[in-house]
Amino acid sequence: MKIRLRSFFHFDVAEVFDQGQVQLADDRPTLRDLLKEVTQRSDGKAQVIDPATGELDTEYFVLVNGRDLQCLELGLETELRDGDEVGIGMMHFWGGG
Amino acid sequence: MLTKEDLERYDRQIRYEGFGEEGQHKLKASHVVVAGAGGIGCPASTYLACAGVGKITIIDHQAVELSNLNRQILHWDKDIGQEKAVSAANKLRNLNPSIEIAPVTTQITGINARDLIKGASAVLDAMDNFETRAILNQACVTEGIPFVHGGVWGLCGQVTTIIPGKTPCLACLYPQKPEEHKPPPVFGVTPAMVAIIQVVETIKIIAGFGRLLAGQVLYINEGTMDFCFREAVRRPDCEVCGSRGDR
Ligand SMILES: [Zn+2]
Repeated sequence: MKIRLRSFFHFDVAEVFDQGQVQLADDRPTLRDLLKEVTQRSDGKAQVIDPATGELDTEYFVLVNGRDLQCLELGLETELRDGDEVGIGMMHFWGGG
Repeated sequence: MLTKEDLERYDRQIRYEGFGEEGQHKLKASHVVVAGAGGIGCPASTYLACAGVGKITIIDHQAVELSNLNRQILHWDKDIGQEKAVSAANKLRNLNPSIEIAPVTTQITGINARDLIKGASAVLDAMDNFETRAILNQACVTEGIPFVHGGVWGLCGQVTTIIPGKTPCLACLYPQKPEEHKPPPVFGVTPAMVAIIQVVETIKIIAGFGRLLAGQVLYINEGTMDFCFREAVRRPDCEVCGSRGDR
């Protein structure tokens, strides 16, 4: 199963995977599985899952095929399908001066 | 009334269907507050001036430094040490002498914010920190003035348009003070791109055409050329615009 990643913050999450596509071994992987993989492979540069709570870090947002994680009924337990596109972004850009 | 010179200066945009002389007249009668004369404020005020916004107030209490010049395009080498609001106003007056430019060198605070923006058609967020944005958001919600937010970090940026009473406000989106790393890395092109989108939003608000980034946040990543929209959700318990607000 291949998932395409898009980055909406300063760390290019796609860069740590071949051609921006994550190969997940499990045949029914969830969004949580993917984000754990991203967190691990990014060497702490994308701490998407908060290790303390096991939930999405409050600084990040996640879009699955353009839909916000907050709008997904199963949240992090949403099952991913081959060809899905997952976008990861940070909400806080306070520069401008 | 548009003068003969206005009709010639703004001819190309007056030709845009849905804008026309009426739109130009609305711009001429408008007053936009640009909060900040830095990386966002310089390109933003430049394009607002070119477009013919009748009055632009540009607020900044800082002085020009050498490290500003990679992005703050209205400040030149000779301006180092000068107040940014004054430096910007001088260039804008040369760019378009037919409009009014009002530089303000006061720091925006919770005490003076409402007075500084009172009566404006829109406030364009060109700040460099969370606190002042929060102050401006509150002042705009209280005064019922559209607030066009933009922010950057590195090659990334975000833009959203806040229409008080209609859309979520900035405090709905960011109820807690985030961690800020100062000074953030930034290329000149990123605040410029964010600023131009903010200016388009401001022009549409004033002239009343097109569709706005209202109720959604546009995220851009120039490093990867990824762009997305994210829905902005209003918090009923928002301390600024919700039931816990002081409106
Ligand atoms: Zn709010």
